[in-house]
Amino acid sequence: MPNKHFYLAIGVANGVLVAHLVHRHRNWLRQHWRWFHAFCRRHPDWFLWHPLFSVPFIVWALLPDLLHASGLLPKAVTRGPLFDLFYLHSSFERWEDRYTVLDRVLNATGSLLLVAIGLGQFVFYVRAWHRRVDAARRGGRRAGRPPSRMG
Amino acid sequence: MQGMGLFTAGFLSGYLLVLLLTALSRSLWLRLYGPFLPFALGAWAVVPYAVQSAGLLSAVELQQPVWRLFVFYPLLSAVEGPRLWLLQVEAYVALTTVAYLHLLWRYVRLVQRAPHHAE
Repeated sequence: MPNKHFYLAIGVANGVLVAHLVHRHRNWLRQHWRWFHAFCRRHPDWFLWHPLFSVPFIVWALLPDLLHASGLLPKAVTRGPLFDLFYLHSSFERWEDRYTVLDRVLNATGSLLLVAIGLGQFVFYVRAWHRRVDAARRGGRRAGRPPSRMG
Repeated sequence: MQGMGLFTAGFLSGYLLVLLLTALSRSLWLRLYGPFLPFALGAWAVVPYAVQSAGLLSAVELQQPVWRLFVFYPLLSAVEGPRLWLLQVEAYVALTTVAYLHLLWRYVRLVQRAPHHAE
C-alpha cells in the first residue's frame, strides 16, 4: 500500500490549488460574495495563512487510514468502493497490490511533491517579504503592503 | 529507515539547528533564509539512499568511508523508523509536519513585520 505521505501529498496539493484559485479570483469573489469582501477588508493578510487551506483536504485524504488505524473500521471496509471518494483510496490500494512498481513510483512522487510544495511555500514567503520591504521603502499610498499579489 | 525517514531525520536536525542559530543571532538574513537549512540537510541525508535506490551502488559499496560524510545514512539506514503507537502514523512525518508548520508561522510573522525591517 502507499505510504501515508502519498495521501498527505495529495491533500496538501489540493489545498494549495484551491488557495491559489481563490487568490487568483479574489476580485470576482469580493464582488459577488459580501462575506468574502468583509473578510478581506478585515484580514488583508489572509493569504499569508494559505497553508491552512490544506488542512481539510489533508484530513479528507488521510481519513480512510485514520479510520483503519484507530480500529473503527477494518481494512476490508476502507478498501471498499465507497472509499474511492477519498482521493481514489480503494483504487490506489488495489492497483498497488497488482502492480508493485506503482507503489514505489507513487511513494516517490508523493515525497517529491511534498518537498516541492514545502520549498515553494518558503520561496513565496521570502518573495512576499522582499515585496513588502520594497513597497515600504518606496513609500506611497499602500506602503508596506504589496499592491496586487497579496490579497 | 528508507528515503522519507532519512529525509525527515535530516530535516528535524536542520530545524533544531535553525532554532539554535536564531536564538543566538538576531540576523535578519538568518531568519529569512535559515528555514531552507532543514531542506538542505534533508536532501543531504537522503542522497546515499537515492543512489542505492537508483541501482548505482549497492548497500555494501555504501559502507565505504567516503559515504560516512552523509552522516545520517550510516547512522540510521538500519534503524526502523519510530511510530506513534496510537494511530500508527509515521511519527517522523508527524514531527516534521509540526516543525514545518512552526517555520511557516515564523515566516508569516516575519512578512507581517516586513515594513519595520525597511526602516
